[in-house]
Amino acid sequence: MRIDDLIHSWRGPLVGLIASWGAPWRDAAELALDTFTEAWLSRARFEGDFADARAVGPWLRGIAFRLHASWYRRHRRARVTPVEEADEVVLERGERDPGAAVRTAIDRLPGPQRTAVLMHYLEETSVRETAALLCVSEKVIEGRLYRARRRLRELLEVPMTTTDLTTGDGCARDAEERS
Amino acid sequence: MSRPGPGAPRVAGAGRREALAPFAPDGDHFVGEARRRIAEAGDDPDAEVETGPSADEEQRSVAWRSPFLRRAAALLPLGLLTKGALPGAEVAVPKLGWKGLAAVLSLPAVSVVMLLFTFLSALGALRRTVDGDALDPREARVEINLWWWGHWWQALLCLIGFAVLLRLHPVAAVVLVFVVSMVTLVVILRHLDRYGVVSSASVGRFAGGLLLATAVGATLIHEPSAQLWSGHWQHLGTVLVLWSGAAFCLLSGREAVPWTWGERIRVGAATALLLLFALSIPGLRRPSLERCVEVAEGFAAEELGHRDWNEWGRLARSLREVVARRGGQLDLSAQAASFEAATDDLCAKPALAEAAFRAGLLPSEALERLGGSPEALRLRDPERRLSVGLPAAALVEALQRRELLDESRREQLARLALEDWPDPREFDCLEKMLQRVELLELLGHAPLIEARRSEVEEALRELWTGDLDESSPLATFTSRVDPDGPSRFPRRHVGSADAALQLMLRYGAPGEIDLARFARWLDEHAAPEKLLDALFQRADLEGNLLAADFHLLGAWLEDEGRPLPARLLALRQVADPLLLGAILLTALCIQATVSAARNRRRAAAERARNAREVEGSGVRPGSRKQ
Repeated sequence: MRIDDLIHSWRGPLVGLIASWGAPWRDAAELALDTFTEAWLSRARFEGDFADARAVGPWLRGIAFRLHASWYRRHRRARVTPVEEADEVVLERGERDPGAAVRTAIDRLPGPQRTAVLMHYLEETSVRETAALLCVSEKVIEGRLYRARRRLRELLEVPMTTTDLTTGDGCARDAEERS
Repeated sequence: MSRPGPGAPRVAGAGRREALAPFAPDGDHFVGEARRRIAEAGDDPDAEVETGPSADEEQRSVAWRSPFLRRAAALLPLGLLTKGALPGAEVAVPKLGWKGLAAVLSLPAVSVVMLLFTFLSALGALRRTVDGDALDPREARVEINLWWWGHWWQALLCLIGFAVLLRLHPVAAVVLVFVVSMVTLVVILRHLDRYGVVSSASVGRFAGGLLLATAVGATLIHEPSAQLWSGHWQHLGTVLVLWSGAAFCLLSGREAVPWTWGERIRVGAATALLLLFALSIPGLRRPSLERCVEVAEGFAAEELGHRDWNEWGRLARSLREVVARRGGQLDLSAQAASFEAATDDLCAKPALAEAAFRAGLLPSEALERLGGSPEALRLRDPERRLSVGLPAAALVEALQRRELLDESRREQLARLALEDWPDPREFDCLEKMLQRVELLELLGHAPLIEARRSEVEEALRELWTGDLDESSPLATFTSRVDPDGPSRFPRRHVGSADAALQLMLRYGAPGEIDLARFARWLDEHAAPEKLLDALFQRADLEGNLLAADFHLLGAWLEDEGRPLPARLLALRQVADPLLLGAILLTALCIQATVSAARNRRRAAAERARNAREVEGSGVRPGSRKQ
């Protein structure tokens, strides 16, 4: 496995995870970059299999958490939530922002659901990496995403289609959309 | 938040991705920047690492071929022990054979340790492990949650089982189960270490946690299970042994990465709190004789008339006796002066006069005035019928001093005391009996006192034999009341204990009463209820009275040539089953930690030798495949 493959698999969920801890998106991306660099430089100490998501996920998360804690100590004051910050930026530029309502709704989701949405939808990564980073099973993440989608629809007052709720497998539907 | 109207976008996957798209980092730039930083750090960004099972993992796979470990792994919190995924770690137990028994036996200890881990994780004290890997408190919590999620019903069953067992009194059985369970866990841990599945620091941390949990558990069960202990020194010894073992195990692997000051402060504060908790056991806080004397002599004179004078009077009586037996003298001149200056109060308040009488400080002027009071006139008048209650001892003493009681009236009073003799099962029978005996002593009826010996001894036996705990072993956590009694009041209390001792001093102790246990009861209940009171040595008259009675009992038995066994307990202290169990468990944990550290040093030496060989062959260490 090369560094490019590692980044490709884990970048989206890792940036989403760090953002869910309260770091602004730009800083989250920077911290993720530092995490990958440090992980690669210290790969000799990693005792697991790089192909095993359940081993790589906690390892990356541990490094990211330590870097985030150090970043947080440098930025003592409380930060605005990342989604709101982005909305302000977009509005300042005076552009039409079709995703603002969705982002605001995402921001109103319960913590675990919001984290799962940020990690999973940022770069269309699979549920496996998200689950590995959060140290939970894939079923748990699928459940959180399902509930998050349902809640988002309620928040945005959009009529639900039958397939949205009866199939229950939102991830499969997302995969279809991606394809 | 502005709510979108009917034309709001449908929240499909694409919609969500579009909404988050502004935050997604640029892919090529991100990878390029990472490669640049890696190159700047002197590493090769084009290097490739090998995937697939490594040699270590293969070794672990060998470990998982052991049915013993596979079954144990199904119950142990391996995520915390190994901090990573292990092949085979999620092996389920299809059917429990005899080898699975060990795993099941370890579950109670694991449940307790996980409770402790939850506590420590919440404290955030273990932010880094002792072997230098980052241990995220959130990760630890996730691991703990995962373990509880998988084993909550077994753990709950264990804890409920223990609670029920405790309720049914066989505390020794619970302790035995726990000790067996913990020994089993340590054996499993040693197996895991032998196969290299867990690190030495993990072994040390887990063993330390185990010992800490045991120390806290031993403290918790100490008070409600007095029958289990020969004395509080055994408990102190047990806690100290466990604590020293825990400190050794926890500190043995910390040389790799020194703790930060913040971590040291947090761990230190947590340890200090736990130590305070352990030292809060009642026996250790009993006031010394010197402290009791100090409290009695320093009792504020300006508080004259306070209801505490009743307790103080009894304290002064006990102390006078014990100090006299030890050849000293009690200096109560300040209180005597207060009584001298408050004759009106003494005549108006019988309780106060009673306290002064008990302390032997009733002034002669007060005696004179009491002898001439309307109550005294009624008492000495042979024409008046004695009907309601016993006369106060101070009043009788006043009449005796002035020789105002004739023989027939004394006979009437003695008869009254004998007619109204309390039932041995009555709530405060011992206090009433003492009151009557004291009255008979004042009236000079020694043969009548002797005639009541059997009733007094029966009452003493009724209350002070058998299990001296008020109710169940869980009484500490709920209340100390007699569940079977007619009232909600405890049958054994400060007054009944003091009266029992005074009666024993007069009649001698019935053979059935274990005076060592009686002394221990006094000893344990002499401590202030609140730890802060003990720390700041706040005057607690009831506690000091019990402590004075404890010392008086000791002095009395010494005079009789049979001192309290608690003073000659060296052999029994060592033979205490819990202390022996603690020593065994601590020795096992320390041995497991030390052998794990030895294994680790061996492994490190082997790795260094391998690294030198690899360097000699020109292959860069760290990348399995370049």
